[in-house]
Order: sequence, then C-alpha cells, then structure tokens
Amino acid sequence: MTSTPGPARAGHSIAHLGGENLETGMLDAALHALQMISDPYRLMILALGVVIGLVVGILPGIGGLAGTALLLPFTFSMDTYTAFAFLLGLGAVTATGDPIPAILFGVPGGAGSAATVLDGLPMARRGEAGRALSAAYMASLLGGLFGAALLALAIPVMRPMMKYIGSPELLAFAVFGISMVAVMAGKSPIRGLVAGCLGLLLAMIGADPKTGTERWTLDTLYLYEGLPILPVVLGLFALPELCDLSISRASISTGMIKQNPKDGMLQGARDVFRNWWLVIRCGWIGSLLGAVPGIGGAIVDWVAYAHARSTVKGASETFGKGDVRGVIASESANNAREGGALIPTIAFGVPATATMSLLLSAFLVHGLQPGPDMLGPNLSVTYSMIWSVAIANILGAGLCYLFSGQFAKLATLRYTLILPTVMGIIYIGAFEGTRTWGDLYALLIFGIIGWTMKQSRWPRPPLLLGIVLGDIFERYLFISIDRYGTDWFARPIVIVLFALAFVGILRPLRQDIVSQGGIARMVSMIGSFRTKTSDLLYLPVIIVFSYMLWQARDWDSEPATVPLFVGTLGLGLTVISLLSQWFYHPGEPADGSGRMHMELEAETEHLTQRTIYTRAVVFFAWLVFFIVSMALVGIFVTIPLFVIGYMRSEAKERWRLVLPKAVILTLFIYVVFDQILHIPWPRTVVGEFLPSNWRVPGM
Amino acid sequence: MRSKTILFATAALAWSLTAAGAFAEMVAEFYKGKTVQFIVGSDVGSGGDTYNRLIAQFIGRHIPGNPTIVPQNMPAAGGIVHINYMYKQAHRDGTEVGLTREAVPFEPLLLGSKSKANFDVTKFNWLTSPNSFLNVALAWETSDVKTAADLLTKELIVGGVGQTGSTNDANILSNLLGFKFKVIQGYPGPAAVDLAMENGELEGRATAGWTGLTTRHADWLRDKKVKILYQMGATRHPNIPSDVPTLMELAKTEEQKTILMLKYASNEIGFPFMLPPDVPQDRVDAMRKAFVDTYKDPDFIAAAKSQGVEVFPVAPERIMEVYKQAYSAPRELVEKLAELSKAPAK
Repeated sequence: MTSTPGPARAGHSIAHLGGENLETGMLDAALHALQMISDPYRLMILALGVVIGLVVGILPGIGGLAGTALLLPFTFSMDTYTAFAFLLGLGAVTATGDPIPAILFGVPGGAGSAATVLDGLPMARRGEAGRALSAAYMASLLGGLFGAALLALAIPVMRPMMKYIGSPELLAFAVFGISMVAVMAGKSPIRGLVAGCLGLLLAMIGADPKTGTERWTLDTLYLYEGLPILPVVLGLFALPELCDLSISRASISTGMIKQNPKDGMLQGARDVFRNWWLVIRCGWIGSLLGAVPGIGGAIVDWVAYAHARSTVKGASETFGKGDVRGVIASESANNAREGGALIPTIAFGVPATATMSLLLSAFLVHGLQPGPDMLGPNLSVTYSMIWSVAIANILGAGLCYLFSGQFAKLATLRYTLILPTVMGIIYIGAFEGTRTWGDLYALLIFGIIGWTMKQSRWPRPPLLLGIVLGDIFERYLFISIDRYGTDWFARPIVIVLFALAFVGILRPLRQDIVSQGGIARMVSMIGSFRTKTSDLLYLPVIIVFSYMLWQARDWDSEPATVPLFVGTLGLGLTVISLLSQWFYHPGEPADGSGRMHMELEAETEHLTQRTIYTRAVVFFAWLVFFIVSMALVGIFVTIPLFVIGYMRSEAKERWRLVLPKAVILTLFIYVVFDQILHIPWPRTVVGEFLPSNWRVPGM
Repeated sequence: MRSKTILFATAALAWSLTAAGAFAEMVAEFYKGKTVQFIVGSDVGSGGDTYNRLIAQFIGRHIPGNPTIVPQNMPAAGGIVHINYMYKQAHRDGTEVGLTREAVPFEPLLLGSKSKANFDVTKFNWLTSPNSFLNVALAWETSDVKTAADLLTKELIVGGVGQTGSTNDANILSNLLGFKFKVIQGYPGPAAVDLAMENGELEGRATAGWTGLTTRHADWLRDKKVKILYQMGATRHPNIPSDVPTLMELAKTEEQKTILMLKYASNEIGFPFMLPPDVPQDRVDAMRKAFVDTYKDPDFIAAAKSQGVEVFPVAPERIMEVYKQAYSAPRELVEKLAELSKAPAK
C-alpha cells in the first residue's frame, strides 16, 4: 500500500525537542489549531455533528458508534480539521443526551449515566426535574471543558505516561473499581459484596480468555462471547423504575413543589458553580479513567459518584435522596471521558472503544499516522481535536440546557403516555446488544432480577460493577502472573491503587462498626432466630452460586481458578448475610448516623403487596407479549399493537390519543431503526409463510 | 420452494440457450428497486467491516437493476451466528450477501463435532475475496530476536488473543519448527497487544496483519521499531521487503510443508463474500461480475487507496478450490494439526 503523503511525514517525536522549544511549540500549535477551528464553515459542520450526536445519544441503546459508522464516509472528502471537528463533535456529545432519560424516567441512556439516576430521579419526583437537568448540563459542560484542558496540558507526557500502563496496572485499576462495591453497597454491605461476587461470576460467562473453555454458556451461542452489557444495564436499571412507575400509576413528578422551570434552570446552574471544585475533580477523574483503555466506559460515573459521596459534606444523609451534588459528580465525569479516550487513540493508535477504531480509519484517510507524529509534526491537528471536543461540549450541553425546562415537563405527564414509548425504545435498544433474541431474554431476566432486588433492598450497583470489571480483572490477573510472576506487585502504580482499594474497602466497614457502637456492642446484638418472608430471596441466590460452582468443578485449573474463588466467597458471604438476617438484630446506629441505602426508594409503599405484585406481573407480561408478537408478526406490527394494547388496557386512553401515538411511534422506529440504522430484524413466523418475493419490513 | 426450483431450472436453461444480455435483463428486472443487504459477521470497525462498507458503497451501480445496498453487522459469537444465518435463514433470492471471517469456513474441519457452526462449506455460492490475509511475525527493536533463525535459540515473548489467530500460530510453529515463542494469553484484541509491545510488556507478535502494520503503525516500519521475521504466505509478497523469508522456506521436511500448507491455506482467502445456497445461478453470476466491475471502478480504487485498504482479489473458483482441498485433507493430517495446536509443554 502507498501511504498517503500527508502532514505526517517528518519523523520527529516531541521527545526530541528541548523544553523551552516545546512550550512555545505547544502554544503555537494550540493557537493555530484554534484559528483553524474558528473558521465559520468548520464551526457549522461541528455544530451539525453535535446535533446528530445529541439525537443518537438520547435514544437508549444507540450510541455514537452507529452514528459514526453511518457518517464516516461523508468525512472523507472534507479537509482534516473539518472531518475531525465533525466526527468528534458527534462523538463528544452522545453522552450529553443521556441525563434526559436518566433523570426523567430513571432510564440510563447509556451505561455511563446509571449513577445519575440515583439522585436525578428523586429530584424529578420532587418536582425539581428542571433543576436536576440544568445542573446535569452545566456539570457536563464544565466537566467536559476541564477534561479537555487536562488533555491539552497532558500532551507532552501522554506517551511516556501510557508506557507505565501495563497489564498489572490495568488489573490494579480493576481491583480499585471492584473495591468500590463496599461504598456502593450502602446500608447492606454484605449483600453488596454478594451482589458484587455474583456480578464477577456473570462477567466470566462465555469462552474464557486463556484456554477458550466455555463457561456457563448453557450451550447457547448467545453466551459464547459473554453477556452483552447493554441488555443487562437496561434490565437492571431501566425496567425496575418503569415497572414501579406502572405500579404506582402516577406521573414521575409526584412531588408537591412544582418548580417554575426557569427558576429550576437558574438554580441548577448556581448549584454547579457553587460546587466548582467537585466539578473539576470529577472532570479529571473522568478524563483520566477515560484514557485507560478498556476501563473507562461503564464505571467512570460510579467512581466519580463514590468519590463525591465520600468527600462532600453531609453526603451520607442526602445522597440517593435527590442531592444535586450526586448528579453533578456523575455527569461532570461522564462527559470528560470522551476526551480522555482520545489519548490512547492519538498517541498509540490503540482505540479504547469501537467508536475510536472508526475514528482511526478516518486518521488513515487523512494521511495521519497515530503515534509520535501526532505529538510532534501534527501537533496542531491534535490540538484541533481537543478544541473540537471542548467546543462540542459547550454547544451540546448549551443546547440541552436551553431545552431542559421543556424536557422537564415530560416528567409531569401521565404514565400511560410516557411508558409505551419509553418501553418500546428500550426493547429495541436492548436488541442492539447483539441483535439476537437472546438480548430480549436477557432484558427480561435482568429486569425481573433488578426489580426484585430493588423491591427487597438488595443494592444493584455492585452487581453491575462486577459484571463490567470481572472480565478485565481475570484477564489481566493471568497476564500479569504469566508475564511477571510476582514482580508486578512492586510496581508503583499497582501499589498506590491497591492501597486505595484497601482503604476503600476498610473505611466503610470501619464506619459501620463505629456507627453500631463497636464490635463488642455488635456482638451483644446477636439474638434469637427471627425470619421474614423476604429471606426466601436467599434461596435463589444460593442456588445460583451452587449451580455455578457445581458446573465449574469439571474445568481445568486455569479457567476454574477465579470462578471457584469468587463463587466460594460469594456463597460464604450469602450464608453469613442470611445468618445475620436471622440472628443479628441491630438497633438504631449508636451515633444516629447511618449509611445511605445506595438505591432508590420505591414509590409504591402506599399500595398493598398484592396490588404491587399483580401490577409487576402485568408489566413484565407486556415484555413477554412484545417478544412473542415480534417473533410472530415482526416489529412493525408489534409496536402499534403494544401501544394500543397498553394504553387501552391500562387506562382506557381515548382513541384520538392512542391511534396517532401508535402511528407516530411506529413510523419513528421504522425511519430511525430500519431505514437509517438498518437493523437486521429476526425472521418471523408469519414471514416464513409469505411468498418468497414479498418483503414486509420487520418480517 | 417450487417456484424457486422452476425459476432455477428456467434460469439454467436460459443460460445455455440465450445470450448473456438477456439474463442481465432478467436479473435487472429482479434487482430494480430492491434493497440488497451486505451482512458482515464481525463488528463495526473490524477489517471485514471496512471491506464490506467500502464495497457496499460502490457495488450498487454495477449490479444490474442498481439495487440499494445496505451494509449490516452480525458479529455475535465470533461470526458463527452469521454463517449459520447465511446458510439456513437468509433469503435465497440474492438479496442477502454475506462476508464471513477468514477462519470461520474452517471451523467444522478443525473442531469437528465440537464446532457450533452448522453448514457445508461447498454449498455456499462463494463470490470473491477482495484480499488475502497477509500476515507476518514481528520482533520489537529491543528484543534479542532479529531474524527467524534467532527464534530457534532465543525466546520471544508474544501476546495471544483468544484461541485462534496468533496463539494458534505460535503454538503450531513452536511445536512444528521449534520456535521459542512464549505466549502470554488473554489480551482482549490486537490493539492491546500492540500497546503491550510498545510499553515493553511483550517483545513481539507471532501474527500481525501486514495491512494493519502499514496503516496504523507505519511509523514502526519507518523508524525501524520492528524487525519482520517471516511472512506466512506460500510465496514472497511483492509489498513486503524482499529479504523476509516465507514460512515454507523455513520448513525443513516435506511433512512440515504439508502441514503448513493445510494450516495457512485459509490465509489466501482473507475476506470471503458469499451468497446463500440455492440462489438462482444468473443472479450469482451477476453478483460475481458486479464484484469484478467494482474492483475496476476508478472511484472504488481511489476510495480504497485513500483508506489504506489493499485490494488483491481472489476469484471464486480459487476460493472453492482451497476449501475443497482443505476439506479433503487426510484425517490424520487434520488430527496432527489439532495436536500441534496445543500449547507446548513447559
């Protein structure tokens, strides 16, 4: 192949330049880049990218990947600066749209905004959706900017820095992430650890990274490459909130205080400026973690949230109950991530995400060579990318900010108007996981698990964390041992991260013991056997652990080691938790403080158990209906059937409302998912009987 | 089904009786206003996806009737879901074209009953492969290994991704030729292996795609960061520096050569496009011609060049020949290969 002669020919890495030289070089490059980006045409294209990114980002399950793949060919004819302005504009803001569904419906728009739900939704329920949204956007904006600024400063040290990130460091990052389970477990630390262990085990489903042994695949192809994260996140976090909404049969915003959207917006912005130091810290967390290949993604918001929870004043009482600082922390980190993810792509040609690997192909088209050249001869292109990310953040968050008052009104709508649309889009979003039926089954199963956990106060975040980090943990543990034996324990970053993880686990534990008045007092609270019906939930947990351990007994030692260890630990903790449930009866904490339950309160307490369960069954039955109908007659008959069926049977909504809604939603899904995104719909039963030359969409 | 059989019979008859122009008309009538899906069995951003999207962009104008072309991805389970779909479920009328990964057609051969793939490789209508799979082995500049001969005496720490690809190559070559590869297993992808090589964790790669090297890491070649130890094709490739030996040249016995031939035959067919079984022959022919015309299309050539994508097409006859040959290899040879794939005893 002939490498296109582009700006990347001269072969000096920045390391060859002297110190003073470097600084002026950087400043020149940064200014030159700013000048290039300020061109009105480029700004316009950047804005176009931003608008498209916002649209694809707002739909749960569809991220920047689909948008980038579609639009990539159009950038080939643009000049380098414009092309990257467009692509990065699109990519940088796909997470910006996420807080809208997260705050308004409790539906994380992507795995990255699951933590926003914890405080965002309670705020919306109080009638403060406008304030929450505006805080989220201001935080996104500033977080993204601080992230970009850090990136700009980090350029000279980027490559040397990345050279310190080997497999042991990635392992240490994973361990550090897992240690946050202790913080996230909240009021029920042992249950949190159990959920974390279960998550780790679920992450190890599929062919193991070392020997290819198939672990717990239930003999299906679906699980061969492991559980896809998307249906799991939507099942665990989105469906339970929607289920409770349909049980309580109210609008989301049930609170008495109806805030004027404009006041809310102002207040949200003020909240962010008052907490500027938190925003900076979380922005840095976001961009630093985003830069670590393979780690970023789903845990950035949790790390920031946990960080805020353990550092800001009074967090233990208010976090999880609608504290705006929770929203600020997770959103400021979330948006800074994309800038960070640029580092490995630019500096090493190592894409951290699939979107970044598409971006790499754009590099080639424009004759750019990722690696040292990007920090030397092509420094101004690199800076133009950073400027693009920064400007895109301002534009994207600004646009959302302007509309947040309008969006907030959605939270006051009746549930029968909101639910069919949101549920329909979630089902299709989950199907985006691998585009097979397994996605919808996984959504259903994890939806039921999530709702049950929420209802019986088992914390869900540790489960997700385990699922996200389990694979990385096992992979890099083996690589570190195979490559370095035990030497890797002595590496500085490993030591620091392990120490942080250790503190992270011990501190909440110590807090618990202190709040219960010391170990002696805790022992004195062990009493006679008492049981509740909710203890029955331990039974499926014990069965799952036992089954998974039983299956693992036949495997070779390498694929079995970590699962056996984690499984045994999990089973042991489950038993301890059950025993403490039976015999340990703590009173109120001695010092009056307690740790928060890292979970949303269900707004269904005024209803009888019977009503709750009946309505929950009905809710999940709709999902079953959806799956069956999609298999029989295809997606485009199912959607209107579902909308009409749901709205008529739940609330006898007027036909004048039901029919247009069914038609519009079907058309919308047809245009977006079929015509633009070209989702390959599964073959249907009716489709099999149609003459072979008939092509009905979705059949 | 019956109507398809009739159509097929008619088409076959027509082929023998009338001029090709008539068929083009029939085919054109069929494809006019239709949408043809180009489904690749790997994820967005993968090598296969790049070829699929690139070809999908231009091939529409070369298919009679100028249908709309839509690229799609079906990446689940390493491409097995995709090939099973193409074999059993895809429409048999020429509106679904598949692109599988290079190793997938060999799954049933090498894994036998353990394979979850469910197809007969000879029943597909193979269309073309836009390129071979050109692989080389690399050593980083800091390693003591400078040439293939050094591999016999000095250890080279390389990275492994999954069970196939580089791990498999390293194991087979260690067992067969006595190379001293030490494979560190479990990296999530080739990009992670590259990074590990650059930060000193690994010393080389037993298998690296030449295209990836010249595009993503051209600076490695330019700045002499890597030594190329050998290439995996049967003959020396014109684009690779001429002093790099092929694996065949490094084999000492006839048996070694035969096994290497069986193992690396698949590399010749890097990105195999196919139509499902039972598609009417005139449409298969039209599609094959459309690929050939696309390869000659100046716009396509320019686009491929700017994206750094190499095009060295492999003809459908050759694809079928390679698959048939591999599947007719003596059982004991296949078993020997499976035996050699196991990690060498430490």
